[in-house]
Amino acid sequence: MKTFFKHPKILLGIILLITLFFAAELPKIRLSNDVLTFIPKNHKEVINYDKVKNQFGSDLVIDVAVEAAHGTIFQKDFLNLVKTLTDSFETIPGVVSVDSISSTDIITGTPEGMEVHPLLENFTGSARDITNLKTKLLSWNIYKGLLYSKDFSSTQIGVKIDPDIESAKMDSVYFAIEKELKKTSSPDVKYYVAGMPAITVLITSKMKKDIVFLIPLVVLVVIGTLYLSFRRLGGVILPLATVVISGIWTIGLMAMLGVPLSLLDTVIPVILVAVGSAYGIHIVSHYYDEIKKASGSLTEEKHREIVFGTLKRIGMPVFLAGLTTLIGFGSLISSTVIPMKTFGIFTAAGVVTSLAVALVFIPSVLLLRHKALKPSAKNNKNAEATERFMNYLYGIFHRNKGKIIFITLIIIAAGIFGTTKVVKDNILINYFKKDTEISRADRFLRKKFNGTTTFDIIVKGNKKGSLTNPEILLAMDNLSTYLKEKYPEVTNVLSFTDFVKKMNQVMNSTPQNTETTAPEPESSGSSGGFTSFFTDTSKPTVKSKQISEKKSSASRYKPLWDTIGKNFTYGEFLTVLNKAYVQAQQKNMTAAELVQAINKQLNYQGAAYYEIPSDPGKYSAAGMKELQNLVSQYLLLFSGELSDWTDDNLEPSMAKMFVQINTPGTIVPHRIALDAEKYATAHFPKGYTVETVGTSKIMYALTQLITASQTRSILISLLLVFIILTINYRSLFAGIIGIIPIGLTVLINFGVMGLLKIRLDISTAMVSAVSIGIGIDYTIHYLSYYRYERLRSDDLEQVARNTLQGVGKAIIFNAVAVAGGFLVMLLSNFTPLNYFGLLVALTMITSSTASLTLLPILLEIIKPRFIYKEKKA
Amino acid sequence: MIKKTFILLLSLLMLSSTSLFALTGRDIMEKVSDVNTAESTHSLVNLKLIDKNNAVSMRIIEMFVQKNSKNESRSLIIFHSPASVKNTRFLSIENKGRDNDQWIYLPALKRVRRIAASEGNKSFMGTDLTYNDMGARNVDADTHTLKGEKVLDERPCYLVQSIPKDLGAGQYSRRISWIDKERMIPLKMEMYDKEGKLIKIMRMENIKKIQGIWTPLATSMENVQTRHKTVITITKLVYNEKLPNGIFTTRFLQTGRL
Repeated sequence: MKTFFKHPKILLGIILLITLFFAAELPKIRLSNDVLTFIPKNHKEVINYDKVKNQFGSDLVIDVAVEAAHGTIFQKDFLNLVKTLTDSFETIPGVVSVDSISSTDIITGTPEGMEVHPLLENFTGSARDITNLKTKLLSWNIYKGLLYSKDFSSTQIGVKIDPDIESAKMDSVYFAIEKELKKTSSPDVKYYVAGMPAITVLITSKMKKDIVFLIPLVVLVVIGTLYLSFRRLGGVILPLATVVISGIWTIGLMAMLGVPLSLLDTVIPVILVAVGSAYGIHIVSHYYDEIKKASGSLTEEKHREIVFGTLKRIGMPVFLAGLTTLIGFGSLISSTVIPMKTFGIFTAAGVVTSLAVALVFIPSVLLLRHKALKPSAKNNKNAEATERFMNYLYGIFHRNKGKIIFITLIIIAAGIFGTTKVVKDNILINYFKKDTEISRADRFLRKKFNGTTTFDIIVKGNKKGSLTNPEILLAMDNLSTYLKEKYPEVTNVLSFTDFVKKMNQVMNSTPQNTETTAPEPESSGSSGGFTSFFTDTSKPTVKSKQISEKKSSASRYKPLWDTIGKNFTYGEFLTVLNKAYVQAQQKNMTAAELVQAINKQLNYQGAAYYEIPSDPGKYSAAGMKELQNLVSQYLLLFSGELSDWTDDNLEPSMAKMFVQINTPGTIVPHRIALDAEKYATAHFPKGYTVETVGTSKIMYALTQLITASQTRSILISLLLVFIILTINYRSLFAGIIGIIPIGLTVLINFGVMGLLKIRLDISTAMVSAVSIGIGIDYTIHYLSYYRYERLRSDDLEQVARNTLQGVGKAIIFNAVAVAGGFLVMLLSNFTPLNYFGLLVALTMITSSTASLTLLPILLEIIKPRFIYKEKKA
Repeated sequence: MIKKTFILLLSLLMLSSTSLFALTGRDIMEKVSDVNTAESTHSLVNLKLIDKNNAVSMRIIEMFVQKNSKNESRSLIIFHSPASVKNTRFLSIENKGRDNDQWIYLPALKRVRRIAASEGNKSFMGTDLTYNDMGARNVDADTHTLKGEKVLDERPCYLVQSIPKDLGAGQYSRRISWIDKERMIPLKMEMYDKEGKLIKIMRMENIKKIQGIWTPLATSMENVQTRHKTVITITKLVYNEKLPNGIFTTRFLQTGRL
């Protein structure tokens, strides 16, 4: 050891160089909170998601809702604004497409055929245009909650983002949108920006603010604590310098390795400050005690002896404390959730570096600055006061043993009860405070529009064209209805089938007998015959002759429109009304539903044909095969615009259904997705498979992984702590008794979470590992001191009193300081980090209290042999 | 002697015609648009659609195009394959100065329907070509600049950049064409989107002289942004065939007979 510290200047120089090296890496640090990258790439949900994304394109959408402050969206200036916004969003690099009222084409039926025109074509804002636009919007119910809110007060612009975008570019897309919104802001409109990409970007940007604000605050808290306990500049500077140096090393290492910082890693500096300073404190504190004892003049030689003596005495306990902390944090490395794993790795690295720095840096400095030291004769009043206080505490604990055990049992019961109530859900939007803009926007979109939670149902057939089969399309359509009717949370199911139905309606919007006007043959050109180049080798599937013969007889379907004609009697009208009402699915129809039912009765604009063509009689088709061809022919009319919905624009073998849900969180979408799969298994024709995919499902998988990771890390850390204690005391009892206080702490943590309805999410899931890592130290300190006293006395009461006197102060001080450090997290912008700080602080208090109260009682009752047996060797 | 002088004069003239009266970008594009002089075209075409995962779909269509005296074209497309859309017929009549008239006959619906759509920028039948890509573009709709000369596939080419005069209307911000100097037909074209990024590359291959007209029998269009590709192969082609009047009518669409 002496040879190691022979040239303290060189040691300090090396530390300085390493620090400078890592400090130079710091600017490279990246922040990323892309939740989709939080779970391993080979997870089933991610693989499925990537496949679907590859096939059907991006589902990363920033939702911008534009609300008219006065009146409705049907105002010229308002709609012009929407167009301006849409056009400018389209030019933002990284944006794939923008869906809004101004970029949507509407398909409508005409007496002669169909028309495809922009919704806003030639909109002047006149009363006629407004009625016209309203009619168009209402003509297809897929627009509701998508392009307009039910009260017509707002419209939505969906900005679709390249799914392979890097997170830095995602930021620039979001901020470009914000900039444009700021530019066009006026008292006449209100903007709401939400959607997962927006959340991701905002987490990162608020996280930066958190870091800048919280770290200095934690440092201040620690300076305060250090000053209070040492009242000396050196006592403040040395532990603090240790923490700063190890912090630079740890974060610099992350930057060097290109590991991005996630929201969780905001906590790393706080943890390093809270935990790392403790090592310095132990060394400095002991050193000052020794200096105090060696009153009189200090020679350089004597001072050196004190420094080395301190290291010898304190080195081992500090090392043990570091080791157990390392185990607590390191247990998170077993996590499959990437940021939790990263957190585990780098907090563990941070613990190791702060330990190493404390053991090298502080002695080196102390060796160099001995001349500056002036042993001060401190008043012993404080010490006496603490001694009295500890005696008083002991009195309380001693008198109330029974009560303590009783209370412990109650706490265990309450803890178990609370634990069963813990809700496991990692809800992204709830990371933000309720009064933040993003939170408000999310609520607005869930209330007025279809919401921001989505998943896809992918239906696959076994051959080309199998998704044009009316049977499967009908089944898919029924699934849509089933989900919408069963779950009030499902605001809309937009499906490939909606487009088929729309085209069917449009193409049948006029009765069969209406002829289209034919163009006159032009005079140029020949009047002779022509020969087709194409010679068909395949057998025709349907013989055209047969059909034309069948045609007239097969037209069994007669809409009321044809039978009652245009001169309507009251009686006929009432028949229609009543029929419409009877055919309705539920009793309490809305006006819109009634109108729809009447339209269907009268085939108003083909409403009777807003369906999957599946009845060959109604369509005078030769059979299902011909109706299947009809669907293919409809697809031809979409000019390949359905690539978001099918894998082929004529003969798809795969199609997508898009489910929108208006609740946040992952539990509801998961339940609905499972039910959709179950429904499909039960009701879909043979030869089709169904899969549910999407960000909300990945989020659910993430929640599951978080829960599993947490359980695993708790078990691993408790087991390792148990092993270390068992080995250290060569007794299984030591291991068992040792983990009781920390086990209780973990139980209380979950109990409190359950009772206070604090959700188990990615940050609160780490509380246990962190509290085991730090909290076990109190038990270790207590046990080692107790044993030291027990070897000297058989009077258990005296042993317990002395132990409390000797170690109680340190434990209480440390627990309060660490808790204080973590309570700073209450000032974080993020709710989960608030809870994290609060819960870790709580566990510091419970674990220290359990060590000081429950532990002595257990030791007194059980009287384990390890505690009064001299350790061998 | 006289002959010699004449040749000298002639070569001087030729020289001056290239140096003093060098072709401008516009001249080149005008010549290009004049190459196809056929009044009617009748072709059998294979469309091969290749998506980014290399999944292939095939279509076979037959096209009849007839130009009238006003240089307006009428075209009829008959789908032959796949079977599901067999005998679907599509008629389009160009009207200078207003929207084209379009009708489609769906055999499973057994009805002719008129289609009114402002779909110039939309995909033609799910290919990577838009309706605008299919049709000839008016030379004066763009400002053409000769950007130099390059050799492509051992053929010397003019490199012409075309920028739409009305930037808002078109689907591209600019196009760059490789024009075969000798045959005055494009061999390659690059299209740039409104953000100025390359979006599509069109290549004309297997160029044959058919009835005196240089014709690319294979054209590929690749969308480099979606990595989707369409290969158009002409398997049969006759220019200036006497096409009966009756095929460009809705009656023909409905019945498939004259």
